[in-house]
Amino acid sequence: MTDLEDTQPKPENKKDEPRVGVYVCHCGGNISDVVDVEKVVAEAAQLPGVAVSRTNMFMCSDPGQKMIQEDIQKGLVDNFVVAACTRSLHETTFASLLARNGVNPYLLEQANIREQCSWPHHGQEAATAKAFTLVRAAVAKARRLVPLNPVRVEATNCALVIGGGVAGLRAAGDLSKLGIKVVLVEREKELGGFVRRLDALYPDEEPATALLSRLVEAVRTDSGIVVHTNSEVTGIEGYIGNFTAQVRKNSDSKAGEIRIEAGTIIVATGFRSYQPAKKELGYQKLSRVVTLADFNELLVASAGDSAVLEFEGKPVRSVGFVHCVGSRQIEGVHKPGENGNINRYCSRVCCTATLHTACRLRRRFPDMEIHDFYQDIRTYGRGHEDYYEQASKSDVIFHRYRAESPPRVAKAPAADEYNLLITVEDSLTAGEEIEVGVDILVLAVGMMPADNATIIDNLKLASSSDGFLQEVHPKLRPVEMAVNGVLLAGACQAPKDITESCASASAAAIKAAAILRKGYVELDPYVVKVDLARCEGTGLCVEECPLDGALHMVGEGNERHVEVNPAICNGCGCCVAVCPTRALQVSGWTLDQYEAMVDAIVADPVEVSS
Amino acid sequence: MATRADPRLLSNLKKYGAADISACFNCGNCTAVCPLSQGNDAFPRRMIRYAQLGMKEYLLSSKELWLCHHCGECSETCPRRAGPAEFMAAARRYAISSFDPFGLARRLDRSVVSIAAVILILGVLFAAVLLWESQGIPEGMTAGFSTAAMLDFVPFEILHDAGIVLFVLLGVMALITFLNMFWAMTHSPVPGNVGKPPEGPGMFPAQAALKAVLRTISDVILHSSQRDCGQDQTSRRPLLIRRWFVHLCIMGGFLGLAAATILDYLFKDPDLHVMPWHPIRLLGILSGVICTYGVTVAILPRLKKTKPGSLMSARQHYYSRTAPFDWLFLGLLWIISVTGFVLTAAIYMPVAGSWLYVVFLIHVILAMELLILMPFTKFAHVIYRTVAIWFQNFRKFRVAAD
Repeated sequence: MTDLEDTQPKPENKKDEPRVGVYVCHCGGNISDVVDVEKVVAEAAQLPGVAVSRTNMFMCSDPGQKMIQEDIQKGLVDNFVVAACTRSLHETTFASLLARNGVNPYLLEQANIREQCSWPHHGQEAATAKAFTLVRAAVAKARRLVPLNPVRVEATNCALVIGGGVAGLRAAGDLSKLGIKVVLVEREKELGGFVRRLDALYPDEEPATALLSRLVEAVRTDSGIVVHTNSEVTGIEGYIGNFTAQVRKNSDSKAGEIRIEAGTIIVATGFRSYQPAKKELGYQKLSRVVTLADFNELLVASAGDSAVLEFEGKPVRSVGFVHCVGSRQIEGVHKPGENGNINRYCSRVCCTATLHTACRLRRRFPDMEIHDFYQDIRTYGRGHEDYYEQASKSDVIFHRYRAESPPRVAKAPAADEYNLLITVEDSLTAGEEIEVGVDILVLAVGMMPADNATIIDNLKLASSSDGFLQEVHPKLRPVEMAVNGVLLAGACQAPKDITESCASASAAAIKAAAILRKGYVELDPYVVKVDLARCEGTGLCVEECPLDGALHMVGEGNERHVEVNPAICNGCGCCVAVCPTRALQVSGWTLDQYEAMVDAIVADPVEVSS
Repeated sequence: MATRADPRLLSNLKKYGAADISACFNCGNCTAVCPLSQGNDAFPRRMIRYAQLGMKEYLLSSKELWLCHHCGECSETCPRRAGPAEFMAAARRYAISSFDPFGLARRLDRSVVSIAAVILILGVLFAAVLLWESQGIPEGMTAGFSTAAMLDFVPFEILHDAGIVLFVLLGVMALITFLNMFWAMTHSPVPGNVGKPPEGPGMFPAQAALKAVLRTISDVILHSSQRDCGQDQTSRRPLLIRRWFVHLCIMGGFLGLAAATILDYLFKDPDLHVMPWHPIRLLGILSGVICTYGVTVAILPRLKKTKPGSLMSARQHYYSRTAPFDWLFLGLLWIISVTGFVLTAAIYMPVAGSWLYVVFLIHVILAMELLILMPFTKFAHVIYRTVAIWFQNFRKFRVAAD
């Protein structure tokens, strides 16, 4: 820690001019190994408006923060410049330091002299010069900072859950328990989604019907949850705290449109199953090639004590399963689907689901031949590997094929013992061709994004390259969308099993409740402000604005001017650029702040310090 | 030509002792740890794969089946506890059965009752032949026990003629099984196994074949591959109980006894009493001691009981899986060695008694059974392993010359 004599308070500072404190960080040696920190501190002390200029080994550490705190308590500094790392790392640290000491947290400017200076640059002289340039610009801006307050938006105490599968049901139930009113919209006649097609579920063998009836019962009997089945969301508008959705009811008795007001939206629209291309692995060409869901229904239908499984009136002696159908597709091998894309991703659920089915099949039919055609087995979840081991040990025969040469399926000759002949190059020997006779071939089809066009278009949501809805951050904000107030639950985000769908649904419910329980939402104040004296009502800004409803024109004639909805505006500044009269400014990033920074950057440092 | 997947091979192999092999998911840890696996052999993983898919011809014609010494490293490394080493042992027993056109090996492998029945039937048969012109147990026994007395009990001519018939029979049966295996190896569908040596100028096959014969003889005598194999290398057990050394004792002792018997017949009147330091007798005594030692050391750890399901070291694992099929061979060898030893000792010591003649009879009968059953018991590895080593050397010389 170094306090320089000449950086001590300057009593001659004018009263109305904010006194700026500059705090330069060594960051261990991350900065000071390349930048001459002492020199930067000394030079900064000479800048106009700077009251104190100090340095510390780690400005974010307790001693570093204490140094700033002492200056606040002594009343030496009004506005603050921290020259250290990137804002995204420690802006919150220093802003909350100011707030804790009764200083408006927006009176802080950070100069990034680590990521943007000491890390990429070598050569002390040039790096030090650049660091000082960045500090100069930050000081110039800091002298013009004014206190700001967060934008406060009142929120409707209601969450709209779109989709009534396990994720939607889980989210709705959780939200209601937290005291939030819920409107659940389901397209189908019945609640339950894809899980309605399933039988026993992994990993605990609970019947799907039992699981669903628990979820559905909880939702149906909850007075805080309004359920609209047979209904479809046809349009959504608004912003966090104040969304409005149009819902079309399709049932014959109560057809018509309804309006739903909601503070948050949880998207739980699920997935759709991959539909194999015509003739892919014999699908639709041979009646004995079915999907895993079809096969599960066949098993349920044939339940009972029968020692033989029958299909098309004949006993089934051998069953084959093919993994990765419609997943992990490869350019040039697989044909693109209707959307022109191939599904490069792994659908994750199918490996365990397939092996689970194989194990159940083995338990019921101990003498049946069971073959499993796979590329890799990805039984990633807790307890999932057990199914793989159990299948192996109970003599399910595994055939590993390469993605480039998937199994070939043909009808067996009439004389053959079996109905279908599968030919596969076994990649575990020297690629020998193996012929496998089966009576049913089961395709473990992957998961595809559901059709979310209406929601995506209306709310301008982001979807990833594979078509699933995309969260803000895969790890730190996994259930939030970039549009404030819109949350994700279940397989609309990516292929997920029931466990994962429910986990994300509960997370989304908590996130929604965190927004709605307070009754209002606080947003960053970095939004556009209108100087009514300057606004001439050209409306150019409204045309330029990329966000629906952020700006709109009010008044007639001379009174005509623009109005801002700060809840929607994200402070992008497009309107500022087109306004001919400088009537629009983004708070915290005003034009005169920018200009002062640019002036400081291009100014001759020697001149400034003289 | 595609191979038809057939689950029956695997269930068949399970009956031969590969009880846990279904658990194998072909990870290849066994191959990584196997000291014998080289290059693209993917051994023993690929053998297991052949079994899982029902690729019988591939499995039976893989020379690696016979190159494995069952060190057990793979079983210890296997993450699924599928017992690849036990699988290999089972596959060898399956192969012995498959190359045997008489169906005897399969019976001997599967059931203790069959083993007892065969031993008994052959025993009665041989006893009847040997005692046909017996002069009975010499009276009074004051003369003491001697070679001459034994040959009064079982006449030398009968012993001699029966021996010749036995060897001719054995030769024919061994040749049949040998040809079966040789044919399978040379017609192997396994790419690059032994069937097609690489094209090109190469060494003239006859020359390679001859060099391979010489190398095989030295491999067998020196036990070089077993010496370098797995456990014996890593465990640093005392030399006297290392598996390759124990095996060398059994083999060397057995060959020594065979040599002594032949020399005895060629250069000495079998009736003649000689002192222990007579060179031929000395060879016989020493060989007998070495053989008895080897067989005893091989048997002892197998007698230890291990709790089912307990985590065992590869060594314990190996011994705990000793099948009746293995016991048949080891047991016969041990009884023959020990009885031989007792009889020899009796010649030079002042002991006598009619029980010695019974011991002698048992000794001769079991020795005959051991020989005649050779192609159908674990003893058959003498043929198969040697042929496999020859094929490996032959291929090595062809490739090296290319």
